[in-house]
Parts: sequence; C-alpha cells; structure tokens
Amino acid sequence: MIRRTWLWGHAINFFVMKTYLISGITLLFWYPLSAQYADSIVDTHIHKSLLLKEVKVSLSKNVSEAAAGFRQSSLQLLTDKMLERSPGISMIRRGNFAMEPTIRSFSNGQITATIDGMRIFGACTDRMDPISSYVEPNNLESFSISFNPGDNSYGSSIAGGINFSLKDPLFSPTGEVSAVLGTGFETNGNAFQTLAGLEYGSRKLAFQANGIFRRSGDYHAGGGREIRFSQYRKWNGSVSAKAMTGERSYLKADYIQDEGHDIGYPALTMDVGFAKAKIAALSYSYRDSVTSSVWNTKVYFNFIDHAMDDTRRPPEAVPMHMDMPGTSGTFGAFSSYSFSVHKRHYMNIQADGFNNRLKAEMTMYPQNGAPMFMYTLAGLGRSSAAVSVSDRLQMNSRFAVKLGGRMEYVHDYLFSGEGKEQLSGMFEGDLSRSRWVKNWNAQVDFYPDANWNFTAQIAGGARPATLQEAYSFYIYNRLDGYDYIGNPDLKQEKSVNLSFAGSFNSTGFGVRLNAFSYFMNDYIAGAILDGYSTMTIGANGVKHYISISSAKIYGSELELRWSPLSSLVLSSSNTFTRGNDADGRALPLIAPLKSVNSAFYRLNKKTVLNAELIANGGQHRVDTERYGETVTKGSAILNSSVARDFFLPRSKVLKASASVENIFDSCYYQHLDIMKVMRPGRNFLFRLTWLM
Amino acid sequence: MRKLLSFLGISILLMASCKKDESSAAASNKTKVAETTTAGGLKVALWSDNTSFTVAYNKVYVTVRSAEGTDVANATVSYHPLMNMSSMQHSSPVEQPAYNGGEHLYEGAVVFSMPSGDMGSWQLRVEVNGENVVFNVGVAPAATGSRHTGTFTGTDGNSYSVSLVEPLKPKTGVNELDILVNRRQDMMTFPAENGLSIELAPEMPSMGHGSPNNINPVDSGNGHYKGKVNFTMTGDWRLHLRLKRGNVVIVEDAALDLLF
Repeated sequence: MIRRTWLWGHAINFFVMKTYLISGITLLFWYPLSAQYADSIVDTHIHKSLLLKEVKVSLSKNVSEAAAGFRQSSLQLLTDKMLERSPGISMIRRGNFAMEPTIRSFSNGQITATIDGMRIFGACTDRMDPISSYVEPNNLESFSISFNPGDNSYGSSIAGGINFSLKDPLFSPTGEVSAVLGTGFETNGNAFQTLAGLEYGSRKLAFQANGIFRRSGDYHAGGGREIRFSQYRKWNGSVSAKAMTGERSYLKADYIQDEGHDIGYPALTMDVGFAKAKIAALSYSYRDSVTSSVWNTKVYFNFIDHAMDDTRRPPEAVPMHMDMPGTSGTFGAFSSYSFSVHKRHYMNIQADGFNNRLKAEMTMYPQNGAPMFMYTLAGLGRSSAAVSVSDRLQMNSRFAVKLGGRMEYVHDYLFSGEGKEQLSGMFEGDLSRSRWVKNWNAQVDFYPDANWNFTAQIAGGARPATLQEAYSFYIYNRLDGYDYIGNPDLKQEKSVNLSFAGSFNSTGFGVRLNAFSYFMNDYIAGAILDGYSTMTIGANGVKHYISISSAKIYGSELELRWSPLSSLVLSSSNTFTRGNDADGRALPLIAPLKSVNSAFYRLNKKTVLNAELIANGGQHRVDTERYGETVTKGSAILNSSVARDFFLPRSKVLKASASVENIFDSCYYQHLDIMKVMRPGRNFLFRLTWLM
Repeated sequence: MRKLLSFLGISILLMASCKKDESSAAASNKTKVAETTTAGGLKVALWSDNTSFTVAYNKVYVTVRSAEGTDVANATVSYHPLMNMSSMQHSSPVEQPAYNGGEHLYEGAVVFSMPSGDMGSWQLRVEVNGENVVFNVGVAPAATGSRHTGTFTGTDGNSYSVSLVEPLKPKTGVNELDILVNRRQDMMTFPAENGLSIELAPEMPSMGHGSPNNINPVDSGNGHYKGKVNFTMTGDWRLHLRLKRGNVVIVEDAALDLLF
C-alpha cells in the first residue's frame, strides 16, 4: 500500500516506521543517478514544490519510488525519459514521443496507470497515447511504481502500476511567491522546450500554475540517418489551487490541459494529428494528527480526444487515406481513510469507482468508391466500483506484516445503438458483461538489524479484459501484422505473484537483490482466427483474443550503490525478465537484461559531473510463429553531463547544464521498439533554469 | 331545392371519397407514379416506394377504385412489364400482386432489368378484372456503385435473373438478406427458380476484404432465398453469389453491388 500525503509541507505517513523511512531514503540512491539528477544540487526550500521533489518514503520493499532522481531540473525532461530510467520499467517505443511504459514486461491492462489515483484511459486504438504522454514533469510532484496488486489501491491489476502524483502547492505562513523559467535545446532533432511556473502560498491559500511548450523535428539515428516522421509538438498547462477549509482540512482543485499536435510515429503507418487531454479533479483532505488519521476524497473527470493522421506520409506509403479519431472520457471518485488502530497497527480503507466511455472510428477513402465507415471501438463503456482494505501490523522491532485486499465489480456495456448493430455482425446476443475482480496480497518484512532487510510477498492478481481486448473491431497490431477482433467472453486474467527481496544498506554501500515470479492463468493473447479476411491492406491475417491456460513471467532485479568518496556515487540498476506461455513459447514484448549504470561526481559546491552507461542485452528468446517477434541485438550507449549552479543576488539561482547522449553515436534499437526503428544518435543538450 | 340537395349530396360524396383517398395508399409514404381509368370506369393508380422505379427489384403497388371512389378490394390484378426496344421486346421477372387490406392496395413487384432511355422504354400493363391499362414508366438507372439486379448465363445454358430484395436500406452489422432468382424461359416468361443452393461471399472491392458470420441464403419458396449478410462498415459492398443445383455450379459468380 502506497500512501503518501503531503500536508502543510510535511510528509506524513502513517504506515511509515522508522526503519522504513531509512530504507526509503536510501532508495533514493538506488535510482541511477542520471544526467538530469546532476542538475539538482541546489536545494532551495522555496522552490521545493515548483521542482520535482524526491519521494521521501517507500512503504514496501518491492515498491520503487522511482521519483528519486526525478527531482528538480528534470522539469525539462520528457516524462518518457524519466520513466525509462526507473528500475523495472521498459518502454514500448513507437516514436520519439509517447512511449508506453511496461513494468517488468507487463503492460496495457495488466498494469494500471493513474494520475493522483484517477483512472484515465488512452483514446488511441493503436496505443499511441499512453497516459504518461499527457502529463509533464512540471505537473508532477512525484510518481511511484508498484509491482503487485494491493501495493496500490488505484485499480485491479496483475503487476501493480504507475501513479503520477500531481503538484501540490504549499501553504506558507509568510505569503511566498516563487517562479521558475526554463529553456532547453537539443541538437538532434532541433528540439527545444520552454517552461514557466508560478507558485504562491499563504496561510489559507496556495496556488500554482505551470506551462511548457515542446517541439522537435525529425531526429537522426546513429550514423546520421534521418528518421522521418519522428517529430512532435505539444504544450501542457496546469493550475492547481488549495484553500484551507478548517484547521485540519483543505480543498484542492486541479486542472491539466495537454495538447500534442503533429506527432510522428515512425514505427506505425500513421501519425497523430492531435492528442488532447483535459484532466480535472476536486479533492478534499482532512488530517487529524491526534488520531493519526487522514481522509482523502476526490472526484474527477478527464477527456481525451485523439486523431490519427496519414496526410503527411508519402502517397506511395498510403494505400488508402483514412481518418481514425477516437475519444475516451472517464469520471470517477474515490475516498480513502487511513488511521492507526493502535500504536503499531495501521489501516487504510478505500472506496472507489469510475465510468469510462471509449469510442473510436475509422473512415477510409478509396480512390474509386464510396467512403467506408466503421467503429473500431463501437461505443464501449465500463463502470467499476471497488472497496479495498490494507492493514499493516508492526509485530515487533524486527517483523512487520502487511495484508491487503480489493474487491472490484466491473460492468462493461455498449452505449450506442449503431455500435450494437455493427457488433451484431461479429458477436451474438447481449454483449454487456459483469464480473467481480479480486486482488489480495500478504507481505512479511524482517529486519535483523539496521542494515539488513528481507521481504517476502505473495499476491493474487486479477484483471478483466480491457475493452479493446473484449470488443476490438479489426484493430491492426503493427507488431505482428494482424488485425485484432475482441472477445467478450474472455475470462479474467489471474495470477499468483511471489517475490523475495534482500537488501543491505550502509552509508557507503548498498545492495538490493530481488527475485519475482508471476504465475498467470487465463493469460490473454492473440490467436489466429481462420476464415476471416483482413481489413487492413497488407495485414497478415486476423487474430482474436483468447485465454491461454497459463503463462509465467519471472526475473530478478539487482541494484547497487557505492560511494568510495564522499563526492562520488556509483550506482547500478539491473532488471532481467523472462516470459513463457503454457507451451513454453517465449511471450512477446519481454525486455531482455537492462542495466543502467551511473557515476555521479561532485566537483565542488556548484558543479557536478555525471556519466551513465545504459546497456540492453540481446533478446533471442522470441516466438516469431506465434507472436510475430524477431530477435534483437544487444546495445550499449554512453551519456555524460555537466551541471553548474550560478547563485544570483536575492537567493535566485540559475541552473545550467550541458549533456551529451549517445556519445559514440551508436546505431541501435531495443527489443521493445516496434518495427525496430533506430533510436536517436548523438545528441547534445543544453538547459537553463532560473529559479526566482 | 332538389338541385341544391343533390348538389350537397354529391359534394358530401366527393368529400367522403377524398377522405377515403387520403386513408388509402396516399396516406403512407408512397409516391403516385401515374393514374388512369379503365374502359369500365375503374380508376387504377400506380404507386412506388420511391419517387421513381429503378433498375432493381421494385415493389409496385396499384390502387383500384370504382367510379364512385370506393376501394375495390377483390379485383383480379396482374402485372405485365414490357421493354420496347427498336429490334425486340422483352418482359422481366414479376411477382404478381395481392391485396393488402391494411393499406388498401395491391402489392406486387417487378424486376426492371434495364433503364428506360435511348435503348427503349418500359411499359407496365396492369390487367384489372380482365381490363387492361398501360402505364409508360420511367426506370432510372441504378445509382453509381449499385447493382441490385443482374442477368447471368448459367452453365446449363439458361439465363438467370438474380435480384436483391433485402436489404434495401443496408446498415453496418447483420442484415436480413433476401435474394430473388428467376429463370428466363423465353423473352416474356421469367418463372421463379426454386431448389437452388446459394453460397454468399460479401466483399469490399475497394479494400479486397470480406466479412465474417454471413449465413448463406436458403430457398424459402417463390424464388426467394433468405439468409444474413454482415457488413462490417459502410461503403461499397459486392455480394458474390454462387448458384448451385445439387453439387453442380449453375452460376459461378452472380455479383450484386450495394453502396451505403
């Protein structure tokens, strides 16, 4: 259970034991110290919430509060790049923007993606718009990753999820105003971004506003080849305001608008004309320090409008022009109450619910003939209501036990008459479906002494098929080249997850090793549907989703930190996963061994140097016949950066950094890169951030 | 005074007949194509579902009223279409009308196999109780991208007329399918052809793909074959129909085109 509550500028967490706090803070250093981290040597209290703060606590051993390195001047980073460096995360890449995160090679419906606990679902049928593409680092306070259901209570899952915490302006007794301005330039792709932020805090009111604009042209792969259709352009603006409603409570309103335009997807046959998200939330928070209780309630609404575009592609690459717009609207609410039952016993109870409506259509324009129209997602709705309970008991100074459970009722339905008629040609009978989804977890922590920590966890995951898996109508998957048709009768995917972790931490050295395995039943995968003709020109055939009797994903993570000198920190984060289906065949989109290694050297009070080696093993365990994948070679790139702070009068700071990514201009791609499009070659980055 | 009374009486009668007129075919959404009077004084009006007839299976309606304006429900009515071309004449498949009491009209159908125009013109002779009236009817060509009827030469040497009866207003998803098959016995006689089996394969010509979950039309009598067709999207659709008698393929590909 993750529960991080920022109130009056302090982190209050009722689940946190002293030992936890220690290990949580040391986890910061697990995070590979990336080039961006080097920007962040100045810790000015005033600017704390304009910048990205580290996550102060990590509550369970298998939660990686990856936001550590994500502090301060990572504001100019793409969310994608921030996620990519986090342990356990690999990104499915379709272009230079809007990569899709996987957690230990779990993706899509197997994990949840939430913003401040709010459910939000991409509108694109081709998964071009993961939720992470609609938030910017300057919207965020932090993000957290969990690897098991029950570690967070934001939704039912097989393998946890990612939650992005929104900015939290601080109340201040003195009425402080602070501001940030930043701009950066990258040579590869002539990318630039510019941002501005303003924050105000008084005793009763707090407010912040942020905006960022980014634009990038086509980038060049190693060796200089231009990757066409890899451009993007976007802006993002957010405001949030807080007002005290009493001694112990406040109201908060958040609004984010994110608009991407002209986003290229070199791995796909179409680009994106626009991808627009509007995200709004109203929250109420009540905290009672006497009873150690916190009550948080939020109501929210979000809407995504997305349109694919093929008009910029060369005519010979477009056999037929088509429009493919889609929308996704979600409203929901949750209320959670955390309290201490007695001194060493904490509980959290939450009720949540949402309704999501998806609609996607396709209109094709043949050279000779009438336009052809159909729904690819024929007006699909999902309603959910859930209760979750999490309980943590500190048995003694060495043992802690955590138990959690979640019951969710999920109802799927078709909300449009036209959609029903269209699907009548594919599926028989009433297509609405309902089911109970149960998640649970149990965890034991053992602390032999202040340095050592061992954790064992068992969890039961379950998730309903996504609406796409249940009702897709000829949605083309570029990975295997098949048109996909949904299956409303898919069983829930279920799993039993086991994980063990051991860690040793001292001031100069730390090591953490864990092993995990997910044993899944009724694993949802595509299978060839004979006798169906393809819809997409050039597709290999038609598949539908079926439940495979079983599948497993297992692996290990090793994280190392060593400070041979007080000014030098070396760290290494390594993730390895492997996946098999019931027939022993390799599952698709399994990230091979990934190793992020960095050296962080503080030259003086103002200057830091950083070098980073990112290596990916080859992936030779693929099943071309069943899943359409091909082998991938290993790759390694070296990045380096220097950052310096310039202290200006009146405690203003100018932070400057220069970095070079892919120093040796390697020509490479990774296994999760769709169509094996080459990644960017050498790139020089320059960034300036003023804190005022 | 008597004159006045009789005038009033006639007026009332006229008004009554007007009312009746409204309550009959005219009340529904049909278009009156033409009207004429038989030698015996019966008023015969020709109605269509559309503003005109087209090259397709057309529902053809007539109303028959007495000189007094009352509906005649028990007449013997038959249709005899005739195409007058410069060199020849031919008829076309017909479904002889039956009285529809609900709508006060006789309801039948004619497959107009070609448009009227330079090539020739269509006449529809309607025989009512042994008396003939002849309507000159315009038949518009099928809309671009549509082919709702066709004539196909069979491997048995016969010529077959294959026409789409349903769906006339296709929608995305599953549609009831009704196909009418007639055999050309001679230029004037096109009897309904029963006892065939039909294999259906829809296709989108501009995409080259088909659709799943279709149900082959089966013989339901009077030359009609009923099944189901699944249109996965709007646009141009071609219905490939393979006509078989037993295991012998009579027509390999009787293709009809729809557009919606």
